[in-house]
Amino acid sequence: MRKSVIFILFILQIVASAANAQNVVFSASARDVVRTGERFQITYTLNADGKEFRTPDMKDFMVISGPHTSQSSSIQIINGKVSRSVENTFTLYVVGNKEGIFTIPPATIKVDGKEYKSNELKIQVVKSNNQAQQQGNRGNSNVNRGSSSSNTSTDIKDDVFIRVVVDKRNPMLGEQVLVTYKLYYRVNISSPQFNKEPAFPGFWVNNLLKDIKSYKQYEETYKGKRYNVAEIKKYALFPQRSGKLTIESAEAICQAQLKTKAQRRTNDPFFDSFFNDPFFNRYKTVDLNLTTNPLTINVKPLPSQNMPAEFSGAVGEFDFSSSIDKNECKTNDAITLKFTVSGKGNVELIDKLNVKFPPDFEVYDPKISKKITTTQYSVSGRKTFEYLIIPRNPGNFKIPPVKFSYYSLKKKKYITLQSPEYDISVAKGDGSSSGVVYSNINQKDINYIGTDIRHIKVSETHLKPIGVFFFNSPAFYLWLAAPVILFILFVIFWKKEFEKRSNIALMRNRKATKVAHSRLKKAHTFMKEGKKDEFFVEISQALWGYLSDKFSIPLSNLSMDTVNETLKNKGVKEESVKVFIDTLNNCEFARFAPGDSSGTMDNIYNEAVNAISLLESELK
Amino acid sequence: MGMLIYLLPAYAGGIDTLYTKANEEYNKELYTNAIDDYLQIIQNGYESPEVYYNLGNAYFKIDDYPSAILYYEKAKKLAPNDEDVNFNLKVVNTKIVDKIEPLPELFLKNWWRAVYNLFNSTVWSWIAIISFIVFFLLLAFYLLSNKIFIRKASFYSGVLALFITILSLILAFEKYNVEHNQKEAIVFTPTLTVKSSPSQSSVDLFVIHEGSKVKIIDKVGGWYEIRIASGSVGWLPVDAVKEI
Repeated sequence: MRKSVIFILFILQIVASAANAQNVVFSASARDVVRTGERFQITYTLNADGKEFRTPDMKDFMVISGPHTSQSSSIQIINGKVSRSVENTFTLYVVGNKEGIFTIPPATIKVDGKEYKSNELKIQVVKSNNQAQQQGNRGNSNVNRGSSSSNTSTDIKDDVFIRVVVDKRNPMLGEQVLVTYKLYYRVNISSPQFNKEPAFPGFWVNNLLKDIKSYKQYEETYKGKRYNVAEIKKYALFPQRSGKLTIESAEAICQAQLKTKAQRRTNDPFFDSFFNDPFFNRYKTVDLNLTTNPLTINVKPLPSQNMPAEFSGAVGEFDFSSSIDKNECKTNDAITLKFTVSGKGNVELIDKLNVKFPPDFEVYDPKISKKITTTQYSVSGRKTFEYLIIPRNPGNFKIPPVKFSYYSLKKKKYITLQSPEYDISVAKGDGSSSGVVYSNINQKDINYIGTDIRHIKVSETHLKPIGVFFFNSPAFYLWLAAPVILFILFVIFWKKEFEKRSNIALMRNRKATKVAHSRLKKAHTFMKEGKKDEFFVEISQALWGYLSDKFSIPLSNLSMDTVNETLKNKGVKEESVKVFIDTLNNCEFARFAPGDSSGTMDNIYNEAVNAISLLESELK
Repeated sequence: MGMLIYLLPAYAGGIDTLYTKANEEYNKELYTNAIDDYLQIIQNGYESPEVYYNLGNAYFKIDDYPSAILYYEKAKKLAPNDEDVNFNLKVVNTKIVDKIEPLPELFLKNWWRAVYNLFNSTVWSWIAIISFIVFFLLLAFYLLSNKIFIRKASFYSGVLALFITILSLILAFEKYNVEHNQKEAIVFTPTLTVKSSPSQSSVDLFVIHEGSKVKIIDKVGGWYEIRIASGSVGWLPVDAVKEI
């Protein structure tokens, strides 16, 4: 159809130019069916010199670039008649994003002041279906025919494609995998633009061609054909997990210049040969969609046995070194401790070192600097951990050795490197400053600057031997026991004394009557003998003595009054007391009375006997 | 040691002059000389709150805060209510690194402590002895007296005297325990990591610094089990601290 249109136009053009050189034709052409997201051309052709080309309003499509103008002129000599024909082409690159059938309204152009309109275009946009076009052919890209001519489709697939090449399919976890995107081409192509960059989920990616200006190019025979090969992308991949990891497909667009097969058929052998000359060959720029196939890589896990505790995923060949700027310092001086890991492998993934600082150090987060060097084939580099530590307190400290482990791919085992142990001796900084620092930092609530301790005590001191306590000492117990013992002794003594005394009194009490009677007896004898003085003495003593013994009252304390009182106290009847007192009085009176006293003596004797026996009965 | 005891009588007269000499040196700001003299008094086996206090002052003046704290604490042990000792101890405690927040204690415990800290154990002992004697005297009065008033009065005051005796015996015992059995120590290592068990390889629990006071709970080998004022418990080497 299209072919025929072109052909008809061509014929028309020839006819027109043959008939009338200035028959303006302005036509639009494009593919009838495109896919969503596919870039395609709309070409406007004008067989005259035009001005003010106006693109139609394309609301359903997005213009990516253009209009690009190109002009070609040809001179025809037909049967001696020379005619010059001009062809101006305006090309738009357009992308349709929505599905459906859309109409592109005519474009306009002015030729010699007259406006011409092109034809309308009807374009069907269908859903893009990349998967269907991909083939399982590994390492071989599919080539979507992006151009107008169907007759190029079969060849071009073999002429331009991208192969993804990996250097190993079964790497270890963390082992470098080299991925190369090779562009194979046998036709002239522009450099490919990736509209979908390769994605490597599960890998740490390092682009090896970041800084490369020109691609590495060489020739290679692939499947029996000779190709130019350009390495357009090259990555070092480091698998981050074991298992099957997929390198996702990438899409690129490039433009290829293809020779058109359309040839003019003339009968003129001269022209045929002339136009078939390569120089005159017509090349068509064709957009090619190049899609790589996804690629699966089987990542093997690292051996789990003998895995060191410090291992954090470094795989490759590494060196480990450390340095310290000083071993001796004062408090609050900063010390720099540096650890460097360098070598080939996933250097960037070494995230931290387990450094055990003395707990009293102030440690800041390490300054991590890295330098990754990429060559065409590998990634190497160096990562430096710079720790700034500030000892806040004096003392001797140790920083234990720091271990760094990695899996050596060469030796196929884990290797642990170790930094030396560092001894740090921290001297006291300026006494004044550190003291101030302490009180300022830790104890802001109290500001003791300007305060001092109180002065010493200069008064006399009472020195005592160290470690000697009175409490719990023998002396203490002695002192404690002393009052008890004394009291017990006192009680014993007092009781004995009391007993003794009470015995005497009792005895005397009991003896009182006896004594009194014996005295009375004696008095009776004296009375018979007529010894007056002795008689009264005896009587008197019997009476007084009786009272004294009976009531334990010393004789010296006895008088008429005390006798009266004592007897009354003892509950003796009034009359009996009176009898006793009368007897005493009579006795005293009779003793010193002159004259014959034999009768009186008798009376007194009877009275005394009577009084004592009276008291005796009363006191019972 | 025998030598020391032999020398004791010879020095006994000189001790007081040594004390005066040390005080004079302190006043002339010859602190190290004063320290030597005070220490000599202590080495001769004598102590008093004043000696410890003055020695603490001398150490403070030469910025040896842990030693200052050690001797202030010793002074405080002998004279718990001495205002100067407590003041200087407070001052020097602001100069050390650690500020340990003490655990809040029950107010009854604080009162009890305040009571037994009124006197040292010797004074409490004498109070107990004297009130005990008074008790017996009153008892004798009670027993001997015929007068009902005297008997009543001596009975009640006797009961009071007995109560005072028992109370001051308890207080003396309490105070004696604090003085004699309760061991405290001052950290002398600049930075000391307290361990979870008596071994160098055990887990680091916390860090204390010189001048901090610890209470000794137990001793195993060359290690003390200690408790700090905040209540944390751990182990530290014996030579890292000095007992108060």
